[in-house]
Amino acid sequence: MRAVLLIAAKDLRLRVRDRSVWLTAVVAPLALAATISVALGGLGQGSHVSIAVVDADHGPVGALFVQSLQSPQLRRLITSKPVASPAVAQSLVRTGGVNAAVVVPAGFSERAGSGSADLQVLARADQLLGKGVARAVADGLLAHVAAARLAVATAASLTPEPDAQLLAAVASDAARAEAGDALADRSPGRPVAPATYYGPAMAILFLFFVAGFGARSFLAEQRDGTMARLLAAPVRPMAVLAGKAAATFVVGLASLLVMYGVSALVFHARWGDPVAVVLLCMAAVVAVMAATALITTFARTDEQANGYTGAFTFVLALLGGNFIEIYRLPSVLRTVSALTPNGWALRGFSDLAAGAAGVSAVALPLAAVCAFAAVCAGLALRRSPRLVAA
Amino acid sequence: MADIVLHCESLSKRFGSQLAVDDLSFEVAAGECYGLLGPNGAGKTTTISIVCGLLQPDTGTVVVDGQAMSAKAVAARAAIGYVPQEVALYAALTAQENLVFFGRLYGLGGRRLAERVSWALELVGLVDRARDKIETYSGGMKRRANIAAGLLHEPQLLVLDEPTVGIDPQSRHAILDTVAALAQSGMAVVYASHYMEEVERLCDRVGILDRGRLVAEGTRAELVEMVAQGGHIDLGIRGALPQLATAYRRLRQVEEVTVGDQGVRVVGRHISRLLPKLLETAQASGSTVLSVDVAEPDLETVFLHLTGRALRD
Repeated sequence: MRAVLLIAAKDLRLRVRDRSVWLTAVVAPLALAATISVALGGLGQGSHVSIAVVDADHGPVGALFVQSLQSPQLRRLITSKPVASPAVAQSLVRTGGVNAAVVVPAGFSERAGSGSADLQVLARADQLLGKGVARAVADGLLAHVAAARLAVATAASLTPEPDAQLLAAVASDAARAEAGDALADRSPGRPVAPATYYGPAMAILFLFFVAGFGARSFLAEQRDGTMARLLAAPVRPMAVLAGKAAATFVVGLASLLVMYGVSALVFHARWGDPVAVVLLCMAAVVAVMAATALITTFARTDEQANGYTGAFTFVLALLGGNFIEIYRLPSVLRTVSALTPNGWALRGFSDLAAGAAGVSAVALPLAAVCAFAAVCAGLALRRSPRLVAA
Repeated sequence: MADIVLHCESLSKRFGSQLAVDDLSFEVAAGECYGLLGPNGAGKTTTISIVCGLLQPDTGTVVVDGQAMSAKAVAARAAIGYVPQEVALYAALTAQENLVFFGRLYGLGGRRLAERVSWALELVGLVDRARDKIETYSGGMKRRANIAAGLLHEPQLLVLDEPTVGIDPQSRHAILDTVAALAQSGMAVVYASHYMEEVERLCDRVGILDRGRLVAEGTRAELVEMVAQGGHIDLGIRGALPQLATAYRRLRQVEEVTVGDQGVRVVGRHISRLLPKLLETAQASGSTVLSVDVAEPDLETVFLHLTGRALRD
């Protein structure tokens, strides 16, 4: 254990004196996260969408829809603006007065029972986010209408002589679920403020580089002959491996926690439950370390490892949602992102920022990241003699 | 004989189709400096890596200070001070920080560590630059610091792999003096080099390596003795040179005699043993010997004789 601590302390001292580590672990992720956050709507501001609502139905379902847009869950994401007619809504959309509009057509409530009802979404071609959110909200309502219809049909089939009050209660319960819930449930990773999303996203992206430094330091020590000197000392090879890994873990975790602290204090980003955030950070660091270590075992030289880990980082960052928010990715890429540790970590961070409480609320992302870490670490350990060799 | 500190028995190591070390056996006693002499690629570094536990031999054993060396042998490693061919120090750390780190790795601490670091820095003449980063050092200073890192824990066996490659003559002399002093203090030393002059100057015994095999071993005199040819004696003579040359040519060990303006050059076998006969013959022929210059064969000649190749091939 003494040797592990000595080697870890030596590596930490070397990293602290390396300006490129400071740049990669602290300066660059903070700068990029701030820049992207500002570009996507201001620090601390969410991706807020304004939606005009036309209730041409004037029935109970149309009223429910207008009411659901005022719900607390959606208020952080959407400002709804009731307007008198589809023409007014069209005009607002065209002039940019709103990002999108939803029209509840006349007779919607009556047709809801038959399943033929639909909602009209209006948006300009360049308002992808507004159109997407409006469509998601509309689909959420339609899904709940369908659920209410199914519930009523089921209740009616179970009772030879249906009680009118019972059927009304069933329909009401089924439809009461708010569209905001539907939107949240259907999103892989919940929409959060850019600073909140891109804080961890950029920190995890640069975590790959930080971990890459650590993994490549094995090859650098081989090149410089210091690995031979370490292994000639009365020290087990596993102690060398553990010491160097511990230093990388500390630097990686510090990088994420600095982003956590600065984005929360300076940019007012909301990360959510601190214990869960720290646990997710630790799991992400281990997973990224294990992945980069595994990749590095395939390289013969420091330069080769640099190329491998760089390519690996950008592919995973692209697929995992570090550049584009996961919930804005096409469904195929959202599925692919579930194969990446950074994708799962970002889902966890998004869920926590969106209000998921406690470790149990992010158990699935946490478990997925840990599983990825375990698999990569196992494989990397099997190939570790390539790293810990004179 | 002093205690045997290093015992290598029948070491072999193959990399693919290449046999890097071939049935190598040698011993080094306390206070002895043993030279491993051979050209680049002869197997010196592979041998040293096996001795230090960095490589596992395909066959054979290494015992250091009574402890068998293996991949997990901690005690045997603790008895060795290893000075690799490269400057194996952390460039961004100072000499002092490097020495403290490696000292702690060998179990030193507290006042003992501070004393040993000061001693090592003093020994290699780097006290004034102890707090400077290694990256600011000259090549010679780096090499000296590299040696200091191998000495901190007072090893029973010091293993140096080409420690003077690429440095200035002044630093080279300083390093050789340091190694000689350590051997005199009782440390067993293995000194691998392809510099014949260094090995001749430093080592009590020399093992000549070629293509992984130990082709000869012994003291310098013993090795030179193996080579009959290659030496000559220049004699400054006052007298009848042609007659003396004729008398010399009649001697059995003489192979060639060249007459010069003021003397003769005699080329022959076992040249050091020939000298008394040459002096007797000169006296008998009425000539006066004014000067004698004996040029014996060196280890370079020995290597050439044994392998058919020059050391620097």
